[in-house]
Amino acid sequence: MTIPKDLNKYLPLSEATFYIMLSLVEPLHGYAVMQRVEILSDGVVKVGPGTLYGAFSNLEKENLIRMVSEEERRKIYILTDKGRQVLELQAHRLVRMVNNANFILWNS
Amino acid sequence: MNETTTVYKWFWTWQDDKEEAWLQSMSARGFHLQKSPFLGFYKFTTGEPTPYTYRMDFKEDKKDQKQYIQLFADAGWDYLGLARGGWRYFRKVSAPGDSPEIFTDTASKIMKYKRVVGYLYVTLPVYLIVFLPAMDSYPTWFMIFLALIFFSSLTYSIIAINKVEKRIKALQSF
Repeated sequence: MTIPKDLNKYLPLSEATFYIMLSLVEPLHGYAVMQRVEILSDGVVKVGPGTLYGAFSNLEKENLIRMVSEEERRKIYILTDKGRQVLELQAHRLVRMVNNANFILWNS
Repeated sequence: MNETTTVYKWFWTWQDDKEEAWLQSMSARGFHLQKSPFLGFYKFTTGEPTPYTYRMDFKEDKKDQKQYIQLFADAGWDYLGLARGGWRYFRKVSAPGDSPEIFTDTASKIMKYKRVVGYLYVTLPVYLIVFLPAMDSYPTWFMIFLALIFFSSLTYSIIAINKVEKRIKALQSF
């Protein structure tokens, strides 16, 4: 069982980063991630290639994603265990926030 | 009929947005950038007016270059080359009223300008390394010449760093 280090330092994830990481629960290459993010967010979140290239570099450096393989000049990435933990941490936080909003703003 | 027109225009490193807008206006008039400029000289191909949007990234290292270009290509951006140490030129056909971006959030835009500042800082000591060893070996007139180059380069670096830092601050106050 991996001991989680202080993963809170990665939170909050930006909306774009959250969706990028969410897309990488399965192995995908860059453009596929762009498309997936747009679909998941109903077209609200768009990730440009400059932004994505930077995000991949940072996430890989922090060991939140790793490269699985490379095909025809396209790197394929996937979430690492650490990345999955960070993503779940963020998702739990968001659930709590949404529940609070539901209760306080809309009394439901 | 594929004519080439060469235009000279000077853009400072902190005027990438102006440069992008100028290239876009050239394409609207039928002049399309062939490749990244060299020393302020831009080569255009004459053709039909086309709504190209031009965007510039700053990436000075050549690491993973093929994958970098492929990622942009998959997203519809043609790569036009490298200029001035790290500026990468891209273009994409845009629908009317649409303004496609390669940086879709402010944080990554700031990171681009931080890379520019980093590059400017690195090139600063280079001037010292080139200048100092020459101290005793050359005639006076050449020393004065080197000193002029050194000080104008240093002034440029300081001004450029300042200008780019201002852009970063403006983006951060979003």
